[in-house]
Amino acid sequence: MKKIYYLVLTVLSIAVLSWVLPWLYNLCLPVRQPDPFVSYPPVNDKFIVSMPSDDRKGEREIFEADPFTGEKGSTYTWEERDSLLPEVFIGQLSAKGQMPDSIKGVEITMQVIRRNSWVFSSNPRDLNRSVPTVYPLMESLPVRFKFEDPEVVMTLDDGLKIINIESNDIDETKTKRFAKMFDEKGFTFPAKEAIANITTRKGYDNGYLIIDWADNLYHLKMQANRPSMAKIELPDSVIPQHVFIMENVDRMLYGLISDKKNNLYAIAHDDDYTISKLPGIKFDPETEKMAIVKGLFSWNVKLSKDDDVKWVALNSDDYSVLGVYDFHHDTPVSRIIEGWIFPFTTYFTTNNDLHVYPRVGNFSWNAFLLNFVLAVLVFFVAKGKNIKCTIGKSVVTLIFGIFAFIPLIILKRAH
Amino acid sequence: MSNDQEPVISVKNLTQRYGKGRIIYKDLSFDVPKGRILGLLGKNGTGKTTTINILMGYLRPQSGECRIFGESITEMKPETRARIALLIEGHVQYAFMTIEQIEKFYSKFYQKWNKDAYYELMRKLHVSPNQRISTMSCGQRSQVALGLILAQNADLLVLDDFSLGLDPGYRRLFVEYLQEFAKSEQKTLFMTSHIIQDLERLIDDCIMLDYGKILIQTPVDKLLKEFGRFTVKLDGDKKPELKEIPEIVNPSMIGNELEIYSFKPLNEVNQILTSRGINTATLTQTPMTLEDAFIGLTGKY
Amino acid sequence: MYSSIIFKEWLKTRRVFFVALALALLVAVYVILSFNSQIKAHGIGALWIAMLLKDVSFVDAVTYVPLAIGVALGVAQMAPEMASKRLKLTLHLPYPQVKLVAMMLAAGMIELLAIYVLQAATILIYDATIFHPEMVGRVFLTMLPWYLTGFIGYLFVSAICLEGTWYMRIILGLVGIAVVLVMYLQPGTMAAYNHMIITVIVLVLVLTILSFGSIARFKEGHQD
Repeated sequence: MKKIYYLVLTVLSIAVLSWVLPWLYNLCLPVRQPDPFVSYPPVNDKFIVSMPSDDRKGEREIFEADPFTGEKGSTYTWEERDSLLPEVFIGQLSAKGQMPDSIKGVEITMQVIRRNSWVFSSNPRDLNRSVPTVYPLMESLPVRFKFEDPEVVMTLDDGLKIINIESNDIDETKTKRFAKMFDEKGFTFPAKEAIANITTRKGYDNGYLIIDWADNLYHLKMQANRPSMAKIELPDSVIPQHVFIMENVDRMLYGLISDKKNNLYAIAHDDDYTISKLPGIKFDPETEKMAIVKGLFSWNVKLSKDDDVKWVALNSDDYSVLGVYDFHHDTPVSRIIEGWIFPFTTYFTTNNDLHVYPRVGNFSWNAFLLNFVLAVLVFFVAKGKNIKCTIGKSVVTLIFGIFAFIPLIILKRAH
Repeated sequence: MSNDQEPVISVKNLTQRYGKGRIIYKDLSFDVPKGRILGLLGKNGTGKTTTINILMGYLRPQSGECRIFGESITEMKPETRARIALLIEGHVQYAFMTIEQIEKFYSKFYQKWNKDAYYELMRKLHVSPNQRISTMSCGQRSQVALGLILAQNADLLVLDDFSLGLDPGYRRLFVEYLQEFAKSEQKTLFMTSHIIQDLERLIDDCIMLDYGKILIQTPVDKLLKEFGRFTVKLDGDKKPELKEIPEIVNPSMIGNELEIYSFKPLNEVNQILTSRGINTATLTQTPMTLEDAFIGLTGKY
Repeated sequence: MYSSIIFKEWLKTRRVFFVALALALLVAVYVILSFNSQIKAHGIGALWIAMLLKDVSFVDAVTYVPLAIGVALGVAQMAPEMASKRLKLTLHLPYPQVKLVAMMLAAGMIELLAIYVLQAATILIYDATIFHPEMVGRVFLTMLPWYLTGFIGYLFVSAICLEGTWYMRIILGLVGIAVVLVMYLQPGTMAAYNHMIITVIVLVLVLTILSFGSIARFKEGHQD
């Protein structure tokens, strides 16, 4: 009994310390690594890179970079940078009366910019989480042209059910109507993913993009309480993994699809649901963040994962690649030192998901130097009558390092 | 199972220290035969409670072996524990229970449970059966603890400092009940007390502990018969050198009177003192209590 | 003997049990009442949307209640055993010691379970009249880690109370705090612990060993 007690307590302490110690370390030595601000201006075909300020005065290095090699070009002042990016800094430029009348022959007004710009972002946290498979269904054609909170929800597990929210009962009529439509379109239950943007604060409703069990993509809307459904034909090579619904002001797209090969496709807001591959982009929505800033002339796609950030500029008209800019954050010294102290880290949460469960990562061979020293110390300090036990403790310390050293020494005193 | 010849408690070569530090005692050995009442006497810190804790299995000794009813105390069976009644220092009991509840609680554990013995004592206390033990005085609590011990009807009673915190009345009551119980039922008692007067009326044998060792283990009547206190008036108040004489124990001076203890009879003591040039004209043997004998053996401080 | 042991545990814990039960049910009633007032203010539809899209579980008030109850019950049950080293009496009872301690822990955990089940059932039965079963299930999965934390708190506090030395009590306390902290890492996310529910249940079972360890240490003489 007593042996199991000490064993449980030691294992528990190792587990807890491998979480707490790195957490405390990072709390004391926080690392802040802001990304540079990178934009693709409509006029000079080069990226403008504004590096994050190194000091508190806010001095920033701003330079242009070659759209393919990333080679550094001329440097700019803040004012010069602002005037190169009229779509971004429209407020500042207008206030100074420096807004150009046209760019590339296109008339520029506040309205034109607003009607053609949108921002989209995707965070792994939104996907890696426990989500309910009860989907609120909005009326896409509200009687008074004003969206209202959904009155029904649908479930798409072993079949389709429409449930009335108010009564928490199945709406038989609607269920039959929708089920018939799903049947006609050849939908395979259950749904793998169903994505909509349920809010009343939007200009129009694009309904749901749904991936069925057979990896087919569907578009569903409820219009006048009736289903409007289309199967979106995908190129054979595209097996959709995640879909993103869009309700942008320019009404150019239904949304985006990422496939199992991490390619990204745009679904055009046309009758044929034209699919266009977005070149130059490899995107895994489950591990990478993506932000798209769409302007009059280009898409600025920012992809970030761990210490790597990548910008891809695409032509708004034909999605051709205008440029690619890569950036890598240097490993900060505190992280390097951390690798010499802790052989690994246990963590329960990450920035990429909303689950809590134990995971082990950040393995570092460098820490084995310290592990070895501690193992020798344990051999002499925590020496017991049983030599096998002492060797065992040393081996445990050699593997788990400081996380084992502390409880072994502390519990030794308690004996 | 134990037989009648086998000691109820048998302690062999017991060694115990305070942590890794001072030795409490080394190679302590003693037996408590069946039907005897044994008092463990010693000054504070000589290890009385430690011994009881070891015997009851609440402390693992550094070395040595203890057996009760022939069974090693480290692997004592529940049935053997049922044959032992235990009084913890301070008469500690389940204070959150009432007089009635605690009787009901314990009665389920002991086959020979004697409910009447318990309630007879409780009647003397003039407390309601629904009164919680925590609301009672120290004396009343001691009677509850005593009542439970008597009701348990155990073969061996282990009592740790039963007189702690009790006024003379309760102490007397405690002793008388125990005495009657032990003698009439051939029980074995192993007890400690810091008030030796109480034990004198009760115990058959005593073990006197000094720091690190047993001074003596003997029947009380034998001790009082053979161990004597002698006084003699000296001409000056200078204490003569008597320490190296093995027959003389703890010599001390009170004014010009020399007080000595010895296991030798008066005439032999007289000879020893005379051979040291001490005028023994006033040498007298004075009667002794157990407490006097204890002081005589262990010294006053 | 069996009934006597249960009787003793009940005597120690009954007051805390009834207070805890009342507290748990009061919190459940509060959850229901505040939910009702939200229905009046925003309509049921808004609450469905809030739960489905914004991860609002409407049971935040429950979060720390099971832990508080677990800790209180552990103290009520085990502290009297250590006061004046009363554990010596318990260990002297003619009953197998391992079984005895197991029964003490079982008694405490059954009381906790009763409180938790009554509270959860009150909330979930009410929720079931309003929400889709899957949503009710998600509310349950959101509360389940809190209840398991209640058991964790109870087991650590029991072991701390039964432990005889301050040194080890502090170690147990620190490890306990760290384990409890893990259980509150993602507030505001429903069903965030789904991936480790089984692990936590196993942990609860493993943690029962701590009280046995404390008693084994007590018997060796590890007492301040």
